[in-house]
Amino acid sequence: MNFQRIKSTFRKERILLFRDMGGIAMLLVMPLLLILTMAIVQDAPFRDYQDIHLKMIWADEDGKPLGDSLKTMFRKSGRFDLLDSLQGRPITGDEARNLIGSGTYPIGVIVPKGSNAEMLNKTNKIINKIGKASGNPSIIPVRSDNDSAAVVLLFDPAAKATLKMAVQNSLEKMLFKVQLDLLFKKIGLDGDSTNQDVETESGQLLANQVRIESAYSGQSNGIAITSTQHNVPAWIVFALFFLIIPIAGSYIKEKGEGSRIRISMTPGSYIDIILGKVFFYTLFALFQFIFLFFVSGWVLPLAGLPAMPVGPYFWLALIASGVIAFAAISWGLMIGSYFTTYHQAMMFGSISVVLLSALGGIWIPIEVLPAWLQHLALLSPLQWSLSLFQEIFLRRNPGDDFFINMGYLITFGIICLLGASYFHRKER
Amino acid sequence: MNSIPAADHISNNPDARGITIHHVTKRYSGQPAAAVDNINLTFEGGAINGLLGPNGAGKTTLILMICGLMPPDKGQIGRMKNGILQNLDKRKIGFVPQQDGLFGELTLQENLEYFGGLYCLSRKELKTNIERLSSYLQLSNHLGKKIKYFSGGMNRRANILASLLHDPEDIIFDEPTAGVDVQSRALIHRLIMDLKEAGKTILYTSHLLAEAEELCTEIYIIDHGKLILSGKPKHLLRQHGKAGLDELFLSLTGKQVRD
Repeated sequence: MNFQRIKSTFRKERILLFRDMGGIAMLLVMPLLLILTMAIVQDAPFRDYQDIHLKMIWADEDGKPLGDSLKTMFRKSGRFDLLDSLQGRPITGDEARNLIGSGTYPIGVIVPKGSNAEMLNKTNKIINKIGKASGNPSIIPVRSDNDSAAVVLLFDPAAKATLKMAVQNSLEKMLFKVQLDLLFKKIGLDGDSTNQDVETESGQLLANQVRIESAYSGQSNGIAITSTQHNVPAWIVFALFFLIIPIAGSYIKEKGEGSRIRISMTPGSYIDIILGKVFFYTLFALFQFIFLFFVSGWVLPLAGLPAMPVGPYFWLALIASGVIAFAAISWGLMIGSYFTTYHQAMMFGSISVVLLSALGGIWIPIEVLPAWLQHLALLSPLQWSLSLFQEIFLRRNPGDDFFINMGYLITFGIICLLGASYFHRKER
Repeated sequence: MNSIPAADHISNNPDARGITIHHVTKRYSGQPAAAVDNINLTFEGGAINGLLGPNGAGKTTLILMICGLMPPDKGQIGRMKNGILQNLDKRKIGFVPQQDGLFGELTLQENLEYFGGLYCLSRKELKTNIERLSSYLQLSNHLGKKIKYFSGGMNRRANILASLLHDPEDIIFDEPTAGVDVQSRALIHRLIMDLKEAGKTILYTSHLLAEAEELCTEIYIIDHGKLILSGKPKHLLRQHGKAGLDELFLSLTGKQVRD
């Protein structure tokens, strides 16, 4: 190993890359745009509907306590902006249907005339049943059900099924609570919904049965996973692997332009030349990681997305970036040494990265892939790379898996370098 | 114009400077005939040795083996020292390939610094050699220009400059004047003569046989991988009763085109 030869190659690669503004843009600006676009596009699916503020049309045609109770509960939930009047007068059911149908609002609720009376009637039926079962057959007069008085939930036809389900569940819970309050009141328990104690008590019956929390084993600080936290590391991995394009490209160019012969004529091992390339591009990869991490972390909050928390192991992320870059550079060198034309290398290089990234959980989490593909995904170097960043930024507890994946990447890199060396010798 | 200084470190004994090809054979996989078939010769030290032959005769294969870019299947290439054939030192070989082999996006200076670095030249040595050779090859004013903007003649001179940067003892010119104008060709001829005067061993290939006749002190004609004739040009012409090298060449290799 000769330091002067490594230094000369490092310098040459630096000059060549920095003169290629298209190449720089591809390695820095394009991934940044990718991170920003994907984080924004994927933000909604990453958010729980609990976090989303929805506009809701409210048409109360009944004007009785049921409508008021439901309206109060929707408002108190903090998830809905209710519009209940147009030009100073209450919105009618037909107006609500038109506004939803035209796509102006995604959701609407109509409390039809007779809804309150219908709920009262259903409550009386329950009381009669309870009385009969407990040997107290006092009969409250009831009538048959009036389905037309049921509360109507309106949706934009384009609304997603998950949204419909979430709002429907909320409304059913609210109706259940109103009916429960009414029942308590009727049977002599103080079930007034305005009574704080009863509200709290009945609320506790539903709450605290299941406690949901993120399965952090490290220093979580209770941070929920956001699209930013998924997309920033994922697309940085993608960008780091795209280093194969300039590396394989410069390798092929050297062959095509004849400088390879001149390089091979110089005394010393070709390993010096490879090391010079590996050192330069690894250093560039670190710069690329820092640039993409901090610029996207700065820009994304401006677009209303959560910031990317740096966390306590940023220094480890730098080491991980170096290891990922080593694997990518070696892969690029092997591609460059195997293929004979620039187009072959570029096509294979870029498609291989896209395929391995799709398989490796860059586009979508591997958990949603079919079972057989999930097994295959574990063979993707981009999955190992993504796992490193997930350990650092999401789980915040780099343990055995972290070092195992580092080992996989280093082994992959060494195998690729040996492959590159083999194809180089074969070419000679 | 600077001259090429005589290299003090080169042995005064031409025999000790010759390049010996000892029964060398090279066969490419899938090819029925050997590209180089048991060639046995010694290129004379301190002389201009012309290696001539039609396309596909085996010249390039032989050159690549001399440069150490390809191992022979059989035989050995080296320099005789105390009766023993020793491998050539890559550090002492300069190869001027047909393809320029410089990076188009780099300036000439940057290219020379890169290749000088690969030869592990000291900063001072590199500076001196760049100044001397760029002046000789009339490229001093173009050191800061990117290679991709060079004309054909400038490219060829830059190619030669990069190959001589480490002051080699044995220099292989592979068709150095192909496609260059008369002025550049004259300069390259003068350079080759000066290198010979400086004691360097020159191996030169060309399809311009009149040029070879004028420049070479020894010629070696190979065809179908075999050495078919060698000697001093004038002596060979007299021996075969031919007026020029073209005539002699065609009489030996035939008029049938080869590619």
